[in-house]
Amino acid sequence: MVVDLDVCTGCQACAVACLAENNVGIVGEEEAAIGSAQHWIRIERYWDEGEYPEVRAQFLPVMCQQCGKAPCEPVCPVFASVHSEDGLNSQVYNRCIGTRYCAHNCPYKARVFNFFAPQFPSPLEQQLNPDVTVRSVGIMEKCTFCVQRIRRAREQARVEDRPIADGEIMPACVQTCPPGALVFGDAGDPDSQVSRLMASRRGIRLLEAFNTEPSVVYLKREGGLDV
Amino acid sequence: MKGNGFVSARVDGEQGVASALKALREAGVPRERIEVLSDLPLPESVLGGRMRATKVLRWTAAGLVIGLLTGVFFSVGTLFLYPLLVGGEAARVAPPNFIIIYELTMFGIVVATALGFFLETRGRGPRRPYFEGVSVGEIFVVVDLPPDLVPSRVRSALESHGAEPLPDQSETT
Amino acid sequence: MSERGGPGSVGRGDRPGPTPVSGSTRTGPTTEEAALAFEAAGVKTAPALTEENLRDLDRDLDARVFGAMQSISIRYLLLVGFLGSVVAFGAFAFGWQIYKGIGVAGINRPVFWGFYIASFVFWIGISHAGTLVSAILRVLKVEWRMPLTRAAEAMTLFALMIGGLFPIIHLGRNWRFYWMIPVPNERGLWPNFRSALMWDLLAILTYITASSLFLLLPLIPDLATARDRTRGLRRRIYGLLSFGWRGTQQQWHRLHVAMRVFTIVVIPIAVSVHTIVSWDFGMTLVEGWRSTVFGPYFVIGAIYSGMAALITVLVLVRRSLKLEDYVTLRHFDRLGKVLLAVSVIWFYMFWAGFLTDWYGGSTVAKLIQHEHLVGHSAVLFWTMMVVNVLIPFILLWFRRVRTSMTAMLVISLLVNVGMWIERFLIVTSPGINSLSYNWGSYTPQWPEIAIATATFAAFALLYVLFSKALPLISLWEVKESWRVDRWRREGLIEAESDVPPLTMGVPAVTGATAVTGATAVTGATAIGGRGGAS
Repeated sequence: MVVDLDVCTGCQACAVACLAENNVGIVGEEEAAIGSAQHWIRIERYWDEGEYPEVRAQFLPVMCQQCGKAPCEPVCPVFASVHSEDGLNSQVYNRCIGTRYCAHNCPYKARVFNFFAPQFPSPLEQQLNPDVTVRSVGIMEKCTFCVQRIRRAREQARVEDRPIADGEIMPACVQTCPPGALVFGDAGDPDSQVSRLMASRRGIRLLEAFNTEPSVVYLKREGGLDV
Repeated sequence: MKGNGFVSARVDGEQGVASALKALREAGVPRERIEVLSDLPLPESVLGGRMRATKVLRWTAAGLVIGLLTGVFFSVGTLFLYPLLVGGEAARVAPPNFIIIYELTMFGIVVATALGFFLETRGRGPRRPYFEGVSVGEIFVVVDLPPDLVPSRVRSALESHGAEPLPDQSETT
Repeated sequence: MSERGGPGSVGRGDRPGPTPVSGSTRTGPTTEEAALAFEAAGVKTAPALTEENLRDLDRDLDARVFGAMQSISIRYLLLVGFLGSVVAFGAFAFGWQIYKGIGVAGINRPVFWGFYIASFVFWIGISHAGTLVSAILRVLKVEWRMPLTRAAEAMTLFALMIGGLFPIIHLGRNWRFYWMIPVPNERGLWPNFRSALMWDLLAILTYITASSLFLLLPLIPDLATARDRTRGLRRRIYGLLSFGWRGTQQQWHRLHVAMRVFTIVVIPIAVSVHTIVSWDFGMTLVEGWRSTVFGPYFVIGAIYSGMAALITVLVLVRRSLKLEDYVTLRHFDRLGKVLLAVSVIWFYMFWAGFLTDWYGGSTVAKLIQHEHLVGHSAVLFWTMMVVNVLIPFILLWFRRVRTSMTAMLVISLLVNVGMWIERFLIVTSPGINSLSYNWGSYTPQWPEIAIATATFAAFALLYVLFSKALPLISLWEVKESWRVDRWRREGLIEAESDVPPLTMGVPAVTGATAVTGATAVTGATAIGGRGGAS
């Protein structure tokens, strides 16, 4: 996945789309205030130095970086956090016992925890996605790159006996992003849009010093919108 | 070990133990049929050497091996059962395995040593004489009579060396 | 009426003499001061004691220990009731947490671990006093260990029982904790042995097994003694627990061999346990946690808090069970010196880590330090520095402090307050992390406080119950050590033997008489309350 920070407006549409797509529980005001909101993708807002109104905000959408060397994986005692064969960093809800060790070891703080059983105040329960598990209390969860959409596209392609087209798979956040700051695709295919964007000289990876080999590349800001 | 009953005597202090043992030796009682009961371990010189070797250390060795093998199975063996990749490392790497093997080896040693101790203490055939006087500091000698010795002879041998033979054992453990 | 400890003088199962122990047998602080003078004078061995004196001492020891076990006062019951209700409230809080979800605790994102893990590290640390101290003293053949070992080993076991509960209490799905246990299961999945939490599980399992057996094995002869001295149900229970102990020399030999194995094995186990606990933090990518010094730093911290807890427990046990003659001021003098040394080493380790973090210049690590030094956690940090470093370092140099029960009680409690704070600061430091948008803080909520408090009550409760159920002093080891000197004189054992002579913990009265020039027999008489009219 590629995130173009020059394009991101910080509108939070991706976060809302993610909540709806992935049956993320609503924790309420108090829990959110102490940081326990369960967003799988969040817009981190950083202020540049300066006095209002001469001040600029920067937006940094952060979701699970699907690391190649994911630090969350080896620390799980029950193999709830493992690498899938297609390179995703998967969280197996059924195995999780809630040690929260993985969350500590994630430098991106991308993992969120069900401190309480997830709530879906009416009428939200009407729009739960049948393709996604509704999690229970006491387990860890995080962005999956909308693995259900990846699977569906792959099965569709297999049925039609064709390769998956570039841009065919769209996680909910990518699909929603109004300015198109998020791009998803196969980084292994040199002709795909993400591969071309990743080759940009603006490309950086988040907290590279940890050597986690993230799958998400950020295109750093070189101007763009002022807020 | 077929026997001819037990003869027990109360003896007085370490000297009493030494002379009673001497008397029994002269009466022809084999060493492994003699037991000295006391509320604290007596010096070996009083007893004229070890009474009988213990097999506890064999248990310890067995525990070490079993623990080690279990550790190897846990840390290396289970990884062969299914390919679960974590942290972008190869499935089978050495360093963390040493910790598992180390802990389980220790665990094996500890459990096996204690097990050996308990089984050896417990499993000693028929009920044997015991005297509560042990708990107030008295010392007793118990002879598991060999078939070829008559109780009265052992009894008088003990008596002549200052021990105080007791009527047939009152209590058993 | 010089009596002999041999046949005739003591009936079976009799307790010696009419009320051998009374207030008059202890001569109060003066004897203890005299005991110190005795040591200051450089007298290293106890005065020559005959077997008769020793029998008197034995009887006095038995009478005190078993007497303390058998009397149950209203105050005792009230204490048990109070502690029990605190524990029950903690259990209720735990039930509440299971019912509502782990969110009732103050933990949040990014501080996913809080009171529970701090308590876990703290209790595992406390557990290092017992087995480790006792085993090290055994290996080094330190003579004055005898009256302390049992009390210390019991502490280890209780602290481990409590500490081992915390990782379970802190789980999001506590009811699934057994998924970590490495046995073949219906899920067809073994646990991940590459996780530091699995190392933890195995290390604590090994340690709790080793330390309970380390406590149990030398307890067996004393359990057999207790069996012979009780009737009815208690006798049956003691009989069962004493595994058919008859006191034969084969059994003694076997016990020695087994204990030698345990003593050697238990030390590396104890060191590995707290090293692995530190690796829960040290192995991560979390700034403020990942550190190579954490292993030894945690081990020394564990010994530090453990020693302090041992002193606390000894002061209280000595007082409540009236064991002043056995756990003497000289013990506290020595323990105080050890505590001082460990305190300095602890500070050295702390400084080694602190300086490395500071010098390395990692922004996050320096921010955490800033927070500790002058930020929100400054009060906690400086409290820790004062009670862990400053107070022990200033006060423990003085013998008067080391031999003052009040001072030692206060210092040892303060050290443990400090060590608790240390763990708390470490565990909650991920509040500051690499992405500043996610910074957070942690405030403990009532279930956490209730459960943490309940575990202190549970520890006290276990100890209080233990003191009535089992002899808190290793009777046979003390008795044996009393005789070593005589055996040596009589050439029964070599000068270098396994059993060190006990020059401390021979009741202080004896020491006092040696100084004042009276005969040793008089000293023994004063204790035994009988005989010795010579």
